[in-house]
Amino acid sequence: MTFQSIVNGMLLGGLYTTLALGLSLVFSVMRLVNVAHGDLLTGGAYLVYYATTTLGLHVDPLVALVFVIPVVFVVGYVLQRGILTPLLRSGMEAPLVATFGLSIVIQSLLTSVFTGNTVSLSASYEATGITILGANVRVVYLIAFAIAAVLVAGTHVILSRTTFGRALRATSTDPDTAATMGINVDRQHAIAFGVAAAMAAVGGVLVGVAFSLTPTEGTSLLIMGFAVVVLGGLGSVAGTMLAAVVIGITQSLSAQLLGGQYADLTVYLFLIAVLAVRPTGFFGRPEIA
Amino acid sequence: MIASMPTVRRFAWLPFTAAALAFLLSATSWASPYDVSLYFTVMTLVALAQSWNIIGGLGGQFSLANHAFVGVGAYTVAMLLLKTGIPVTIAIVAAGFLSAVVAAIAALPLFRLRGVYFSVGSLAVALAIQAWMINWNYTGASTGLNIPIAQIPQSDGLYRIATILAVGATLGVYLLLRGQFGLRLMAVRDDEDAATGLGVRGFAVKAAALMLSAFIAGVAGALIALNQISIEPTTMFGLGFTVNMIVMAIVGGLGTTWGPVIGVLVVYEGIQQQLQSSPSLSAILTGALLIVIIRFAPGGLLDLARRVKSLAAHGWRRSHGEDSGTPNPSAVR
Repeated sequence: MTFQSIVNGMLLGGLYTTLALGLSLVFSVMRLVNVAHGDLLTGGAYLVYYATTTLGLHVDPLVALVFVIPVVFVVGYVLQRGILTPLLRSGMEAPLVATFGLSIVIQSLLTSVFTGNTVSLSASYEATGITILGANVRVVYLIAFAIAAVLVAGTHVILSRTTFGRALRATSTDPDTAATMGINVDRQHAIAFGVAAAMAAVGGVLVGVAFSLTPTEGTSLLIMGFAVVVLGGLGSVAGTMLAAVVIGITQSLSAQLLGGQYADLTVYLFLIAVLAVRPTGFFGRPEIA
Repeated sequence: MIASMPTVRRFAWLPFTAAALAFLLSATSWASPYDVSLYFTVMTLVALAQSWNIIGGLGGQFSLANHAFVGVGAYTVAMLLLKTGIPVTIAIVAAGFLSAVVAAIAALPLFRLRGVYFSVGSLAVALAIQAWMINWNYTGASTGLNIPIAQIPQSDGLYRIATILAVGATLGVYLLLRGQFGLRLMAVRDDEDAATGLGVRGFAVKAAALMLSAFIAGVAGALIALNQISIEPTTMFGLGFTVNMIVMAIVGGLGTTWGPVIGVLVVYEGIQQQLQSSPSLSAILTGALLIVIIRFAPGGLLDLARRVKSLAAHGWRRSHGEDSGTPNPSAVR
């Protein structure tokens, strides 16, 4: 049913928002294209998997995030300060190469620890559905949508209303001037990367509950995140969520019309088309690549 | 510039290339079959690293699509041998040409984009092609194809073609670094707006570089397919090829003639071949090496060696009370 596809696609957009928020944050704050973002997603999810299976933590995957988020935050903070910050001074390509190397390392680490097999995170609601306005939707999509809305609203409030957010925006607009105003730019960048890694872990867990994961899944999740960021444009958190919803609905409708196996292809072609038509995205402020 | 050199220096590469090629081709008569198959892999990797060096190093376009060209080459040779009766050599060359055509089509949307947007777009193109191939029944969808064994050349023959490709690609980079087209390409890399202002057609130059890069990758893909007989889309269109190309080109020295060759020797012979039994560890080290190189020696090992050498010479002269001036590590490429 078409209406059902649209509702599910819209909720799926919530899930896609969580894939893209961290990517967008890091890009807009420090012009860093983090091609390891997809692997931060899977990495966080695998940490939750490890905690809830091997370590025997018998809680819901989303609850287990409470323990995993501090870990990935610290990892992100250290990665940014130790490796990426020194490279940011030499243009955009060197940090891109470094995150590419990071992506290789994370994917192969995950493969060596967890093998290449598919895993999924089990939650009591993973297969349950409920009916809203006559449409059957998966509960996990609803949860993802709610989490996405909270993250988007939270990010918006923090960026626009708090001292930290103002400092972050100042760092993004003009790092040199921000530094002369007493803002510790390197620390701001590292916190932003840590937060992005934490948001990635949330997105990864939602993917792990709603679908499944393999150690190399990061690459296609990355492209999904990019599709959202590019369509949504930079500097607009609300644009990110709107874009994610548009992509979710597109994908869900194309899966219904063409068959599920073409769902990924649709997203890739969508991204190429958007880039070709409007390289700077449709929402948010214009930006030079 | 080549045009202004005396004729003798202009063709100085010719005897060296001929000698190198003759020596490498003779390997089939003195090396064991096992070693020849090892050298085959080295040659395909050199060709792949140089393929990326052309678009990523000389062109400055961080392509994440080159594995798609490998896959197109592999599938072209397989389909031609399965469906037509043409000789295998022609099929291999056709594989290169079809990859270049795919690159030309991909260039249309991709080179509207600059910098990292190009990288993202190129990855999307490669993923789209892979997603298509996994579902396309005509080419065997996810199960792939088996090349008729009777039509596959002997492994010595494959090694010889791979050697010609690798030497040709390396010579190509050498000539690009000195010729008119290469200078245009590097001008676009260094400052596209300034180059365009001077009359360089940025789009055409970048598209031609991507096509050349794709041609080399496509022929290499065809050879890899012939060597492994059966192919399937997940690995033939897998990012792994591009990962190797980028790591090897950057570790050795991006935008230089010999950097990618050194990168192949260090990364393949030094890491991947030694750790054959634990591919995950080998991949972890490969990725870590890339991070270390870009962080501490962004010019790659070639540049590092040059800097160490000139530093040593500098230090020696200083300790002997001579005035030496500043060392110039970037004099030769």
